[in-house]
Amino acid sequence: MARAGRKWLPVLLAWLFGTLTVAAQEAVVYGTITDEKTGEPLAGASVSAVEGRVGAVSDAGGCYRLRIQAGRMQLTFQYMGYKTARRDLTVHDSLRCDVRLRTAENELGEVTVTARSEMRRLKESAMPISVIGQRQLQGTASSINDVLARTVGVTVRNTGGMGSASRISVRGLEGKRMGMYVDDAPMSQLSNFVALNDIPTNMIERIEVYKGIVPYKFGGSALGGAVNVVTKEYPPVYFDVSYEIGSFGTHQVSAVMKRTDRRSGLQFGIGGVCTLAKNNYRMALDNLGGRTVERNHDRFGKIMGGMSLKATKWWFDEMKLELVAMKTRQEIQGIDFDVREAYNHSVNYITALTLKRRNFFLDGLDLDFDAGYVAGRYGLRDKAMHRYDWDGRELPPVSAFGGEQNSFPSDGRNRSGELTAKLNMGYTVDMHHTVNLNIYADRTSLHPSDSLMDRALGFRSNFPSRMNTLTVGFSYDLTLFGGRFQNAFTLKSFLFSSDSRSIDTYSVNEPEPVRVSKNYLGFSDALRYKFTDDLMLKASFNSEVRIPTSEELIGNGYSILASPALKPERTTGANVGLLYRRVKADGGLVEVELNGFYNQLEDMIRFTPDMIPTMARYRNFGSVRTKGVELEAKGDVCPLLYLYANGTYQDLRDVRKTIPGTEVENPTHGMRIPNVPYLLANFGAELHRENLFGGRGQNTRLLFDASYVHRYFYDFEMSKYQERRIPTSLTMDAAVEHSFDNDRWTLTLKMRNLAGRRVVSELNRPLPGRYVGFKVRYLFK
Amino acid sequence: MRNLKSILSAIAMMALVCSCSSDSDNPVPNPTPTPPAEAFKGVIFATSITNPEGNNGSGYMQALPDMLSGTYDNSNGVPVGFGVSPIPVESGSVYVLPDYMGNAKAEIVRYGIDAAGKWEKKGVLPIPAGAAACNIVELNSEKAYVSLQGLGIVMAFNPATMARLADIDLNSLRQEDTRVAPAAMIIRNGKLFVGLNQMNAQYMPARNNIELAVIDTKTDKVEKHIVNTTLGLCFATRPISPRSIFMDENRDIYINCIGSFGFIPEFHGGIVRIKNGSTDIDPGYSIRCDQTEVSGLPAKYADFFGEVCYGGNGQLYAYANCYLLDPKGMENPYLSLTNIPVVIDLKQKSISVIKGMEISNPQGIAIGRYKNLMVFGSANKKANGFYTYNPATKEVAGPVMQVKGNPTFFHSFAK
Repeated sequence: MARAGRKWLPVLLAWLFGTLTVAAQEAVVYGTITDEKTGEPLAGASVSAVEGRVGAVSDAGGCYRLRIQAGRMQLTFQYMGYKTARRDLTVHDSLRCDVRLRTAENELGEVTVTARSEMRRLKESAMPISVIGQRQLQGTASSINDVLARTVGVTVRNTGGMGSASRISVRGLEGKRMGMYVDDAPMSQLSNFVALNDIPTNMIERIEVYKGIVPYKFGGSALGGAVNVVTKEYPPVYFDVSYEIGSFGTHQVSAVMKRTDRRSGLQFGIGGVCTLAKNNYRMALDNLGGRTVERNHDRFGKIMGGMSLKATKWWFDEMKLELVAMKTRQEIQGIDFDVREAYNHSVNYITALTLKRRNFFLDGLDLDFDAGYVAGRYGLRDKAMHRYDWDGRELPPVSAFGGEQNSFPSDGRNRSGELTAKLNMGYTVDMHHTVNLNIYADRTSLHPSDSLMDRALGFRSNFPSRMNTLTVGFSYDLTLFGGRFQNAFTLKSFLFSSDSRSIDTYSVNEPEPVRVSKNYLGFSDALRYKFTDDLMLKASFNSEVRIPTSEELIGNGYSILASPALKPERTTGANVGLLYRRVKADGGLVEVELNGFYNQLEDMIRFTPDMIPTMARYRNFGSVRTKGVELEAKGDVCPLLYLYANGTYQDLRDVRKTIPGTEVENPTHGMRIPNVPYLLANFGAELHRENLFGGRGQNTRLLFDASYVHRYFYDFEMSKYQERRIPTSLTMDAAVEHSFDNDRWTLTLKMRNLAGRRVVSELNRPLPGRYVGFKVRYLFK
Repeated sequence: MRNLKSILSAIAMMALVCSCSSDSDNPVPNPTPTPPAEAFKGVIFATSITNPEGNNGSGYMQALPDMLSGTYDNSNGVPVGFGVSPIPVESGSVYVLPDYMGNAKAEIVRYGIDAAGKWEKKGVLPIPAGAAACNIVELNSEKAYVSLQGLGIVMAFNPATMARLADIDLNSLRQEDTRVAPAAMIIRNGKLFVGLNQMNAQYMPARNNIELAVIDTKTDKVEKHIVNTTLGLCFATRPISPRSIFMDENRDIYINCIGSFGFIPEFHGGIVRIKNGSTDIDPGYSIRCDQTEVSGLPAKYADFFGEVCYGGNGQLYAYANCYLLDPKGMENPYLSLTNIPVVIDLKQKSISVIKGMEISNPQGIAIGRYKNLMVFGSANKKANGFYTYNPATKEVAGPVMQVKGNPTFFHSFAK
């Protein structure tokens, strides 16, 4: 793979750099609109230029972007309840213009009805949400997971080094219960091949972490929460390339180029990412007496390239077509055995279409449509005819036909296809009322093929399957008291159907058809009330369902049997939070947020093995109650120093009183759910100073992040002699970052796991020791 | 003098057989027993708890001075491997194996129990990871054997020092399309009889062969590969059930064959034997589950015997698995109640349901012997715990001891 990567890299770079010759012809003004006193972003504020002929609206983060002809102009910023602001500018290519609006209770009349369609995003602010901005995305972090791990209420459990599988949980609920989104579009089946972690941090504007309630506009049926990665909006000319080299043979290159043609309004973008890592760190094998070995079969390689074409003058306000291709190869690192040959591979092609139109045939009606298709080829190749232990002793394979993993060999040549479509239509009735309809449909088809596995099992185990889901959400938003009170109510209907074949037991030689079709209802409500400009109360309640995945419902044909009677998981939850946010006289920000939450998960879908290990299936088996509290404080202590700290206590308990189908008391009733961290904390500091070493346009940042996870048990807490636990971890990261030429060049020296502490995940998954990396980034805009 | 010797050895043998211990069949040479004055005379039992993920969990064993009625939680339980039983041996030691499916410290711990019932860690034997250790028999105080299912190896080790002595590789005995997994073992006259599970990728047999390996304990070499294809049974011994191979008073070895766990109709479970003085399976003896009606069982036939324990006098106590007992039996083994206590008359080749006993799920089946009573661990509709059965009066009582979790193991040191 390394050889392949070396071969591709120059091609990719040449491809990217070759496009730089396109000439600049249009200008862009962009920036943020915030409240002058509180610093809070103002979502839905309008910006107009050229006597109102050109306009834009700020998004949830207060960001706006306006495409205009180069030259002199006056921009007008308007927002309900605020004084109108004007700025005179001379724009050549692109220019940042941040504006702080002052409240003006007597000037409501100045605000025109044009604001009503822009209010649609305000509803989000009533939900429990953490937003990770640029500040956190750079610095010590190399990936999304690094950043998420420091977010209050979020746990990221990696199982190894670069490219390893990871489990992200929000308030203890994880895996399939979490929704993963990119620019509001669900990753869905795609998440089998692409992790959020694969998206370079350079391309990200912000990450939104929703807790409990997943905004209706996202579609889908996540119920534990959602992570939405919002990629950057780009000025007319943008080029961003970075390279990071680090310990354990890590190399990461990413590049993005965007160019807009002024006359046609067409924006052309191209970019790519290449990641290579040997992951050859040393690890202690706890199960083998603590001996230390070097990871020797954990090479990870991913190459991804894409292009986009965006039109803004073709009737739609935005019409975007994207094409992405990616290829991954990942060796499987043995822990108990010295795995030497097995690896996973995948190639995927993604196409996506986005259409947006404000005032869609009707003033106040906004249309937002996304459709995408993902075609994938993937599989596990595990054909070795020998296994080896860590002493080098040769052992027979797991089956007579070979294999180092599971109980059978694999030579997977699987195909998958997924079509998704999401339609969002929002109508702003007036400044108080907004309604929204969201329809999300997904059709997944899998065509697994593994003749080697079939031979080893003695029967055909891989069958094609299809699964369709449709989620229809209707929401109503109410805004009162000049925006002080907001309420968002959402009602969702979930429909799903699947069609497959499955061998139910060994006594059945021919596969039986499995067809399922069901529908369920769910709802949520979130409200916000601002007591003062600095203090607000948030409260939310939800009762939602999560549709089983195709694997849960129809199994995988060989080691997981079908469970057509599976019911969706259902949660009932509530959140109450207080947020204090103040902008100090010197412009610094102080923010403190306290949240308490409660959640009850019913009909939990659990993986349950059978008498025979390869006859497992998923069942509705359990009920879990979560209570917890989160506290986060952050702020600028002085113009040079920013500090943050957060802590989460999440208490997940088994609340089944009896063993299902019996009168027998459940032996784990009231006990803490094992293998889920319950006490987490993060702390960090940033010291920053402009032109520390003299000169102009330079900025230096010193960053420090610490993360604490209290020890927790791998099994239910039963005995005072119990030993299997994941030990407490305290990891520290640090970085020095220096940018010059007004952020055109940024150099970062970073160290993760500064003290080189031994950190273990999932009982027996050793994580990397000290990582030292150096990153150089060039940004042209 | 000669007669006296015979009588004494017969008495010794009876005592060993009645203890229901897996290696209780090896009278010569004897492991050094713990001095009687210090010996623990109580009972030990184990329970298991499954984790929410379902594919792992934990097990706990406890010692009591006697079979005292009450409810026992696991707060004082010593952790044991999930999916395998603790293995008590005649020397008084109790071996604890790692989780059968792996992801646990790859070591075998030898425990002793003092007279007060306190557990003492006597030694640790490192084994390869993924070995799926399932059974241990002691030859004497300096040599014992552990079968490593996952590797196709029987490892010889010194129980006193817990040091590895030799690996006996059985992989050459595998069938063309299976891997060979050594299972439960027994020693008779210096020969180690190892049940062989020939498993395909689905942990299922591929043909109706009963196979064992005979190993000479002096040389640790495979002396014979026993293969029987005429009795129509397969899967010799249940690996996680040490009592699935045992000797009776005549020193005949009996083997509980699992078949295909009742999943594949053509692969059957049942009982076969190797007569004293022979190293071949007795071609004229078998109790086939598919051919022997179970008296008192509405479904007539059992699928296989999930757990067995020899009670002496030709009486074998067992949990007969019958999927027809629960309409969802094959669908959901967690909730299915498919295991019914039975008594098998080895001489008459008959099987009868023990009336009054509860039907258990397959996760909580344990059988042991306590004085003149047979003890059945049961996870049933009403309770999880240990019940007693008096073979003399046919009286059932219980649950005498209620437990938290599935009762997976019971053993009494009281004679």
